[in-house]
Amino acid sequence: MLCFKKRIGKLIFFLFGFLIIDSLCGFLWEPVNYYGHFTQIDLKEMENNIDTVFLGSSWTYLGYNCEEFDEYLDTVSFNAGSVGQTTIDSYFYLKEILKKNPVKTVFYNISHLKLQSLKNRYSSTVVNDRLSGANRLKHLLVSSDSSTILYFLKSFRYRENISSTNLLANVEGKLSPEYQKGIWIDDSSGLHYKDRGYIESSVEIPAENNSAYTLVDSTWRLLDIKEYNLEYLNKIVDLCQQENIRLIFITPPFSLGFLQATTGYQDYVEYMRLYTKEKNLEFIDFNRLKDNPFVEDYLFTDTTHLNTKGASVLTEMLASYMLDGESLKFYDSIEERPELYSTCGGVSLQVYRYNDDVFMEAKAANTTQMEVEYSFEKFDASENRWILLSDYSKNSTLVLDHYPTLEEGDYYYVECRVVGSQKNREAYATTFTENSSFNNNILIFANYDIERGVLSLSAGIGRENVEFRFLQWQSEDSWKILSEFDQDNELKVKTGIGMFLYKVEIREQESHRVVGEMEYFIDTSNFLY
Amino acid sequence: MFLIILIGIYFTVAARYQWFVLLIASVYFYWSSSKKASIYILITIISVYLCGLWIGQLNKRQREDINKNPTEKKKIRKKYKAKKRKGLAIFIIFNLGILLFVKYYNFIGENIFALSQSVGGNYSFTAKQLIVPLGISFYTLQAIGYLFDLYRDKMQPEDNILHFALMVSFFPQIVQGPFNRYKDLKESFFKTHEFQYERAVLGIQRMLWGIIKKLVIADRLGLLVNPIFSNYDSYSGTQIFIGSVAYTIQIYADFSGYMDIMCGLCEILDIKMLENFNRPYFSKSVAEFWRRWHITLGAWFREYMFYPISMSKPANNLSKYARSVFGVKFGKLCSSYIALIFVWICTGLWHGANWTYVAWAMVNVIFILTSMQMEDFYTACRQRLKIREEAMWWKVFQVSRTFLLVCLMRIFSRANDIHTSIAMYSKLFTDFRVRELIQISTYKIGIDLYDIVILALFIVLMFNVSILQRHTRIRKWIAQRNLIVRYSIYLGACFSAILFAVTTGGGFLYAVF
Repeated sequence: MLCFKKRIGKLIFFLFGFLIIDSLCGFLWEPVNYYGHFTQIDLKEMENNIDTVFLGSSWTYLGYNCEEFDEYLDTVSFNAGSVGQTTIDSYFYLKEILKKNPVKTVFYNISHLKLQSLKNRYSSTVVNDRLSGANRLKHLLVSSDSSTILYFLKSFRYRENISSTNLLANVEGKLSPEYQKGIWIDDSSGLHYKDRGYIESSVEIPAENNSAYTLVDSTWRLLDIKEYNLEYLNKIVDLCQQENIRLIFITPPFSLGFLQATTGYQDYVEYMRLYTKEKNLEFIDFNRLKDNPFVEDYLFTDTTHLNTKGASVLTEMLASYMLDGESLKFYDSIEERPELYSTCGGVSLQVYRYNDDVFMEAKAANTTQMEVEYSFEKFDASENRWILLSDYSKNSTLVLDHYPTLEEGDYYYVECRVVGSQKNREAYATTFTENSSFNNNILIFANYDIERGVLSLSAGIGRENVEFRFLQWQSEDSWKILSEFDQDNELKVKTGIGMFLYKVEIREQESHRVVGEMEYFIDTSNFLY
Repeated sequence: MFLIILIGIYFTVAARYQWFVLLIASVYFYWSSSKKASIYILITIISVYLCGLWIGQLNKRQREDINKNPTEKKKIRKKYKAKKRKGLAIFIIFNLGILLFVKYYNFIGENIFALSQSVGGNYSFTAKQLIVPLGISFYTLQAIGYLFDLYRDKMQPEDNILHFALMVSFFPQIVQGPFNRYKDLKESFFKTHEFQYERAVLGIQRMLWGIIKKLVIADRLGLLVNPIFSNYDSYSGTQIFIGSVAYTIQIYADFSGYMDIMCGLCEILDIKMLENFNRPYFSKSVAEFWRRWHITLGAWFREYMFYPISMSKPANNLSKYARSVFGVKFGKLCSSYIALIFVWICTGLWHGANWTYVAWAMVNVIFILTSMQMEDFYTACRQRLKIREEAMWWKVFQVSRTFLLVCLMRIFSRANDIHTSIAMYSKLFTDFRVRELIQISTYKIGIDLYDIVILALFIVLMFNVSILQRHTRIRKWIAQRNLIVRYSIYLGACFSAILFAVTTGGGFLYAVF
């Protein structure tokens, strides 16, 4: 027995030493600008007073300015957002806050991606640091598995920082009185810890990044909902109902670029509607807001996160909703948002010479009743830059008077959009010479509408009174006629993703003399990106 | 988690079921890592078990017959030996056939195809995507060793197929060995095992040391080695040399790291395993290196291949003939040479179905045979130059020379193909600049200064531990220190693994052999 006690004593000694070294590693290598430290100090200072909590991931801590919110509503709010916070993390964090605070309202930030998200080892460790006692241990057991458990050790989590951290500066910063008091001392990342968990971002979305974010897989898939996310969402609901807390689900505003890349958003809305109706909860979706101010990119720090200006707008809107539930008007469906969905499906461009002039003729596949505007550009190879020929206007044809001869490899570019929308459809055309059997000015342009699987082919030639016929290459070494000769220089074919060879034949209307033909190879998979 | 549960159950159940817990764990381990290929190991277990019973039966009858007719001993032995030999050959061919099929089918087919093309034949070959069962090279050889031991009547066959299944599939040894003899394993498996705190601590220590070797040293060296061997054209001869040295250390840290983890676990479970390494990089000759590297594989080849071949009738006849033609010394060693060449070709091919391994084996055998044949000459030279064999500088020279040779030979075994290895050697000898060796930028391939410092520290530590192990039992020494020193070492080891482990390293190198 004595031996057993001695061994237990040794084990405790070992674990104690282990935890001390682990904490020391955290002290040395956890960045001085890690916001969790400041959030914890504020949470402790606000103990017993918090009546409003914002829960969720980075959309939350960058999205709601507690100070402003409290000014509007005379509340004591706390932003409990943390990076990548999962529903599991949110539940345990809320429980921790409820231990010592009379919370009356909880805003839970949720999106179409949240319920699909996997357990996040980093986000869970961040939240775990803020928990205590049995709550911390339970969270550790629920949110970790054998591959992630090591991340709960600060030594393991921050080991990548060993070679990159300026140890002296980091330690010096941590020992400074400002840090100890919870005053943010490092703005180098463009982020600034304001207070009560809210973080300001002074960065505005870089225009060139807008399209990059559209590559993120932002698809709502009902089947991808993780059971544990739903389980803990229900637990959050139950917890709030037990504690008589008003729980409001909020889907924060996203930039147009991100929403355009999102598939199945309305299905998500329907799902959340049903869920909140069943649970008798409120659901605010800022992406279906009428007169939506978040069409402006300058309110975002990237395509999904708001910057300081955006957070102010959102905070004010939420406060106004809290004061008057009717103050915000929403579309029933996101598809009703004109700047998002009432736009042309595609645009084609023909560039051809007629007499001394060059014509750039654009044609948008506009399915809406709204007007479309076009902008034309040309690539100047000698200076290696795009030259704007005409800014957005309603003219679909640009005539370049007395323009020099079209040259092989010239790039012409058109963008179109529904007036008032920022969703561009673009097309470019290249002048051809080598494949043309007739003259330099024959042109085929193709555009593929991925959503509908429709390929649009347009042919152009620098003369009138001609007829066009489209053909497609078959695997049996033959051409299949897609359309007979007529004046329509466009053809739409339903096709999938793959590589296809088309040909257009052009003949004189009266004499039926063939004046040109051209083959056009297309890989529709290129349109995926 | 798997190991914690296993250890927990293992020491909780009654002693007579402990082996069964190990069997269940082994089946689970094998099934979860190699589902589809489990049929192969099952076939081996059943076939070798049945063959073992049959040979055991013949051994028994042979003994009975000899007891009845002691005067006919020789004749009876001869009769049974012939029978056993036939049966043994069938089962060995069958099991080796499986190994050859899954591991060497494409290699053999491709080479026949290439040969056929070169002589204008019309043999066609389509490569197959075959699943190579986990540990097939290890368990097949171990099972064959079991049959050989029975054939030589050195032990009794195993009656219980589940006992035998545990011997073949015991999970810590199936991935990378070591090769144990069944009678040793049996003794260890089926005795009563009690949990001992001290033994468990020693086992954990060894596992931790193995983890550090694997994750901190081997996997970090992998970051340097992989780009050099996959894209040697972009690197100088000096960097190729550094790559070969790094790979030599990597493979040791990786393989011996695994052995430490495995032996540590077996120590906790109170199961005795053979050691595979004896400070190989401190060997004074290539032959000695191979006696100290992968010891159990060498022992297996020596026992079941080298001796049978070198003592066979044709080898003896050849030896006699060689004596008459080339003199006594060569003639005496001739049969050994033949056996050695054969063993080395098999060793090379055992490591992988690639000519690079054969080339690597041949280079090794050339060095070993040359040194065997020239031994008298070397001794004479040493005596003439008045070099004392015990002199420290001479020992250092011998160790360094051997290490260098081993490093250079490793290029063959690591390069993707023969052409690449030849091109690498050519670059190494034509583009080698000594000055680059002292430039830190030369080493920054896939790693940065931080990694270089970590590597330098831990490699020095690893070899120092090796040196100390000659005279000191380090783990025992640690156990005798006071609590503070002891726990500082434990915590230092734990945090070395946590802070400096490379987590993108992948599996063990020897697991693919």
